[in-house]
Amino acid sequence: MRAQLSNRDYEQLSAYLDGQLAPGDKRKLEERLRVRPELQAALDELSQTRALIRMAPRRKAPRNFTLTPAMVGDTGPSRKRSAGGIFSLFPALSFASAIATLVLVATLVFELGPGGLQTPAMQTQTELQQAEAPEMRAMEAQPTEAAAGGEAPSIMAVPAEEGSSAKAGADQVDGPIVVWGDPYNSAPPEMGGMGGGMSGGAPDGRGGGGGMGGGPGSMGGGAPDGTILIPQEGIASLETESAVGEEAAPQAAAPDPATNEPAGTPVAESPQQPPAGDGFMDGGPILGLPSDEQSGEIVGQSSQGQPVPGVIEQPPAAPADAFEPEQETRQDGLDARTAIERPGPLGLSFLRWLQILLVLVAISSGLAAFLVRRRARS
Amino acid sequence: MDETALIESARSGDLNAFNRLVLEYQDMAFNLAARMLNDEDAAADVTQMAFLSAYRSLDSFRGGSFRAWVMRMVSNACYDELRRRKRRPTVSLEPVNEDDEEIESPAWLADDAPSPEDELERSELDQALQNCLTSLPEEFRAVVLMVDVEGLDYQEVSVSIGKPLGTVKSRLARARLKMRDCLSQYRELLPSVFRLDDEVTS
Repeated sequence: MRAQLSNRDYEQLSAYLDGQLAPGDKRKLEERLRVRPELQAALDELSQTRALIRMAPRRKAPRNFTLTPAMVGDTGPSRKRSAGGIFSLFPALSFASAIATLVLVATLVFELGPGGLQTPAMQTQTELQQAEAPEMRAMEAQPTEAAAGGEAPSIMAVPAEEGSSAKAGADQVDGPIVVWGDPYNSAPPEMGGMGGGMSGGAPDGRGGGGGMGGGPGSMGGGAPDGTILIPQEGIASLETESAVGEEAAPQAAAPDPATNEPAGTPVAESPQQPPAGDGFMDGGPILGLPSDEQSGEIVGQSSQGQPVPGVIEQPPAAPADAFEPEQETRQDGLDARTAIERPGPLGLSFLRWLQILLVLVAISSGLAAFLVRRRARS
Repeated sequence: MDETALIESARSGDLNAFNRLVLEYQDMAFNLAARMLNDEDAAADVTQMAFLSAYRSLDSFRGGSFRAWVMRMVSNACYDELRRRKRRPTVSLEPVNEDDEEIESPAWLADDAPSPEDELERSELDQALQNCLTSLPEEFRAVVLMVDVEGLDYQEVSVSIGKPLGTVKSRLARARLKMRDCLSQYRELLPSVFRLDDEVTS
């Protein structure tokens, strides 16, 4: 009856039989063999088995297995060495294929990244924003100076020579004038800069960024239909101007003394005169906060051909859904992305040409590596 | 010319140098193939293919035991043949004598035994051993043949089968255990074999 030994025991006994045990393990096993008869019996059986196997007759080769030139053909080791240049290309080809694939994936990730693919409407808006960027920066600087001076200008006056774009735009404006919030005090932070201009057209009229002139978001004074948005205090100024005439013009103007707009020109005819004192009670022209009743109210209509002094004409705004706050943070990336995606030869952008090239490189190098590998194995 | 010089000459395209190596190792190669496949005709084909493959891939020999490298070529060729048999099983013809009767102990397995009785005993032992070897899994069979039949050491076997030393020890131990259990069935049938065995081990 054989003793139940572990596989580990049999491995040690087998290796001990062949003299393949380390000296330390051999000494330990010999000690165990002295005290465990079943271990010795197992060793004896393995030794007997090995002896039997060694008794198996050796079978001689029935013939010579030497090679002839016909057998070998032209696939000897020397010929393979001469063609080794081809086989040595396998690592390079496979590496090139892998790299091309990785770069292709990277370009796809870049294209489909957080900026995402731009729809045509978004691309148009991007271009508009870029075109308006220099004007935005100039206008942003002006209310800052006014605020630093402790004044709350009602309307951002742009000198005639600087407001050429404004004047050009103003000539084309023919839309209602909507009361808007205070561009300096009530404009939300995220509405600064380019993006603020777009979001200035909030329906409730309280965005504040849509204020005229230099406020952040002053560009947003335009509604999609070309409506001009002016701050509350500007309306008050306009009203005063219309009543007083030229005396109201300097107040309507920005602190810039260079402004010499004809103040006598009526800015607008307000269809509805706000009740006296309402502006003060509700914040009025000083605080610049329109009342709830006045927010969104159309206070005047500009006549065609008569620019509203100090009013910066805004181009028609893009759809509201394009004025996401996230657009601001992507502006820098959009610039780079626009450059890459600008149509090139055959109408394909640089990025697309790059992707096509990478695909060709990956496929061709991978196919070449496969063919080289296949030839090496044959 | 020593073995190293022959190998270098063969690498540079000297077929005669390689054939000298073939003559040196062909018996060992054929014996391994025959024991692995239990078919001498198939073993001859496999041995020829193994040497041809060895010549073509001589550049992959990085030194060390050339014998182990040749055994690796032969064992790989045997594995390929065994896999091919599994995909396309064939009925092997039993050897027949002049009267078309099956021979239980193939005559061509006989070696230079001094007497017919000894020859018969050795043939029966050979048959018993071959039956037990054939019952082993392929990977166990290769290891026990290389170590106990061909006399390779553990390191050479590790190179031949492409496995670490621990695997070689484990497979060899388990192969010997299975052979012990299988050969014990023949103890009753062939008691004289174990008398021989007693003479060997005593």
